[in-house]
Amino acid sequence: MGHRQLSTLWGIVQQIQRVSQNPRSTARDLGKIISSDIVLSTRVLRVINSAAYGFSYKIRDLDQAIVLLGHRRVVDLCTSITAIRSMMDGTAATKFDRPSFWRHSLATAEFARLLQKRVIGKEDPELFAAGLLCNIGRIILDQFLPDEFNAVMTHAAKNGTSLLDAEQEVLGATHAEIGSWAASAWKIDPTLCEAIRVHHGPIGSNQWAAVVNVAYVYAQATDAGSPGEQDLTSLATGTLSLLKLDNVRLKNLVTEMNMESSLLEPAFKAMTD
Amino acid sequence: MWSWKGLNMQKPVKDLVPGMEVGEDVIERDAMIIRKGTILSESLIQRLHDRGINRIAITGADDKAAEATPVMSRDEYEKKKSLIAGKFAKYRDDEQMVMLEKCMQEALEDQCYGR
Repeated sequence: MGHRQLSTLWGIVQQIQRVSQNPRSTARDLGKIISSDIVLSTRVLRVINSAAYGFSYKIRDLDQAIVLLGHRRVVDLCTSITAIRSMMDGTAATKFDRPSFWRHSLATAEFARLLQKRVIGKEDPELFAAGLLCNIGRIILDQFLPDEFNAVMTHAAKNGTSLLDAEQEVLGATHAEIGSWAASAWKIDPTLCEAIRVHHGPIGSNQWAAVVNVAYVYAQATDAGSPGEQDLTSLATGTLSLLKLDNVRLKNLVTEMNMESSLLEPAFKAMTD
Repeated sequence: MWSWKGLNMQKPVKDLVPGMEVGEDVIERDAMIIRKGTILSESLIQRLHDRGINRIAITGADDKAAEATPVMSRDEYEKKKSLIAGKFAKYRDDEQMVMLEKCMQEALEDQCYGR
């Protein structure tokens, strides 16, 4: 996979998101774009018919799927499938575990969607994408700079530091910055680029980054895959207060995220098998 | 409003929460939407909202919750509890992480006792 292919991936994702955001677009418009990629449309139907969605009858076409699940859900599915499908296979030049990485990314995105809905009161497909792709910098390192990435992983293991700190110490930049630079180069929405850049802090007043940060740490805490870190990453300073999460609200969210997490593995399997 | 055998209760979709059990098949225009016995998740509740369904039958979940019957063995609970504690061990001085751990432990306990 080259730089151009990664750029194309963003192009497809953005095209799908643009159609979904157009108030005049219909289920058929969206279905038409997805159907233009036969592998994508087949995978979408496979995931929708998997145990993750629990339909008791078979969904046979995309129009029906969009009507049943809604535009947003199908757009999020397309984003996940496109990203995971394009970047599941590593170069074998490093020992980075991509399936586990993508499990964690998918969990982060799903939890971010739920958190945004509960905490901010709306659902943006871009925020789902920010959760899914917040660690894209690690894939870029694994894909294009395997020697440097190996040095980072060795440094972390040898010194008992986090991968995040090791990136800074060895490369002078973290995966968050690298991912954000790449996303800017691909002309991604600046809000999404900024959320990717600061998802480990400093959060400041960036609600998207705060939502992704909580989702990221929670996915790690529940062993929903691994972003490559050995130990649990801490929440960025000020995250919970920015989202106005006290004990009661956070516990309710944890309960809801627990419910959602049982659906992740069947969805991931259907996306990748 | 209680339905037959007193086991199911019609609940407005807006009052549903994840974890409730569907008491009767939800059928719309001859299509099965959710089968009886399904445990509701956030996405299933959203699906009901999206389809404009107003009420569905829920198994007498309120009574069940009051009984607080363990749904996870004590061993499994203890194992999960110590796994969470282990993950958060290095964050004893981090207020946010302490709060997140506390919430996760409480949610686990609720799950164990079917609350």
